[in-house]
Amino acid sequence: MYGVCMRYAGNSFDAQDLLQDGFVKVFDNLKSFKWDGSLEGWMKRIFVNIALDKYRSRITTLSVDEMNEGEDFTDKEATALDAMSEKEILALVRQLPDQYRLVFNLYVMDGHSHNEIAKILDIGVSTSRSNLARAKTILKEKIDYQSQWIEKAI
Amino acid sequence: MDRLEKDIQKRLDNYEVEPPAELWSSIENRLDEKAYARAGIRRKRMTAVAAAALLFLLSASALLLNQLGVPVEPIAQETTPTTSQPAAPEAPDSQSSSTEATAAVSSTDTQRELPITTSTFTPQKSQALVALKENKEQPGTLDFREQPMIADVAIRSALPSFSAETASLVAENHELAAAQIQLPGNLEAAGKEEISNRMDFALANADQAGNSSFSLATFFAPQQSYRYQNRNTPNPMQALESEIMTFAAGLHVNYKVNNRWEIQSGLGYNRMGQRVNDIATFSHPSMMALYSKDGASINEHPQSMSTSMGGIVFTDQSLYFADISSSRIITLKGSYDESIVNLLNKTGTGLIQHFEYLEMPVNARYKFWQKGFDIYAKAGLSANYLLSANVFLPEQIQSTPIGTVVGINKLNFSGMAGLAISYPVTNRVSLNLEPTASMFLTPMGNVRNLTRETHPYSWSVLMGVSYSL
Repeated sequence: MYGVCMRYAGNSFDAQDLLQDGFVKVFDNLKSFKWDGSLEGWMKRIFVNIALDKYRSRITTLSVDEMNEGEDFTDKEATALDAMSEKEILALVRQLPDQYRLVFNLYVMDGHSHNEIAKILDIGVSTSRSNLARAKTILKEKIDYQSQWIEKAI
Repeated sequence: MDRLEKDIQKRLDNYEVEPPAELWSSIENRLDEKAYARAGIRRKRMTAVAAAALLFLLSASALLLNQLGVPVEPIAQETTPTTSQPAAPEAPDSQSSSTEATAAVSSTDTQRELPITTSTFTPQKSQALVALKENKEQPGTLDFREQPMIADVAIRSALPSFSAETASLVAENHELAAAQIQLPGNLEAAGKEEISNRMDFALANADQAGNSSFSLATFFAPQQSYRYQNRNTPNPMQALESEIMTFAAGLHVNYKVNNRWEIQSGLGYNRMGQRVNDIATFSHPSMMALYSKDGASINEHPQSMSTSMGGIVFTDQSLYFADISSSRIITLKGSYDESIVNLLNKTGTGLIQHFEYLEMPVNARYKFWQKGFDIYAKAGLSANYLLSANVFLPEQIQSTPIGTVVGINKLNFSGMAGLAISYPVTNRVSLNLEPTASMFLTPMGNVRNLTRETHPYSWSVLMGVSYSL
């Protein structure tokens, strides 16, 4: 669950706050868990909801015009990503601005559609798409930067 | 989902990060604070419920006593010393026992509400749980065995000291028990023993608290009692009769079939009855001849009468009875004696019929609510054995009866339905409040056109305490 908190939080302090708040809420609501589903899934939903409550207010709406699908993910960038550790990849995600990081986590990591994200975050579907595209662009730039160091090292 | 998304999703999906060890201490502290706060709230709630139950009990008792024992001159004056004096010395004793009971409950509650101490779960101990994550050799084990944090939750939830409800949680979720036997073999010995001991302790407590099949319950129930008449012809007594407050008390044994269903039996004392109005009763010391208002001589005063709940036979020959509703107001010949009329008015004009039954119920209870307190729907049948059927003056309920009721069956069967609200005070003791309606399924007597068509019924609120064995 700390990994979930780390993905959604912008820094370690926030992640630790989320973990504490999440566990307190889990124990408060343990009796309501029906035991007919996954305890892990139930806990994860609680942690994600707490993270969303914390960051939802920080989301700024981007206009559709600013949406940028960006360039394709190249083999060179894929190689650079493979060379990175999970810890480094997680660090890249955490460096994303709040509004991009939330949409990226909800869409890529937790499998929500843009329609669902729009309802969860109370934003437009086009804003959700735009935020995801912007998040991916930032990630590619950082991976590109990383790949240059890999090339230099080779 | 494009390649970038897939690659990142694949790499981070199962990636877990170990939180700083000191973070667990912070969580511990916050949970301890919550446990203290929750214990305080629960104590306040329990006190409020107990106070409400006590208030209700006192109100109901006062109402009952008021209904049964209003002193009326002149007969009440003669009986007052015998009815009021015995009660006085009992007051200090009852107060004392009440204080002791309160102290006992308070002590038990304090013991139950022990919060988690930091010694029950420390970062060092959690290292043993972290070892669970390292073991990937045994597939198919429970989720929380592979996830140390979830294992923490599972084991914490199994700790009876965490909160009062955890014991029942363990009892109802055998996955927690199964986790104990699925601990990996290479787990550090000390850690394995620690987890194992804690699970044993939790499950043992769960057995004590949640798995006990039998419980005992005492109850006292103020009730409104009357009768239903299944007849097509008008009831000549209808205008004279009315309901009265009575009570029931007893001991129930509950057998828990599963988490939802319970079977209940036991023994109870149940007093049913009604009031017959407009029957003037008075004593006439000079035994002078009486006359009706129209001047006719009354040589024999009535010594029996019929009611819808049996035939009354008066056994006290010193009393006179007059049916006011039929205008047979009795006075002395020659001079309309105002004092006699006043006496008639002051007697309150009425009779109380009491039927005392020994009751043996067989009830089924179904629990449909379980959040903080339990609510059951209940229904059942009872065999009712008649102990006595007597008639009293309203102001002399507690003294000698002035007559008996005849034509009443010794054995009757009744049906019951209602709700039962049970509030757990400790793991074993619960306060119960049970609004209930019951009715005789068989006619109460065998007198044609009267008791043959009469079915007594009652509305009651059972109040009591149950103890899980």
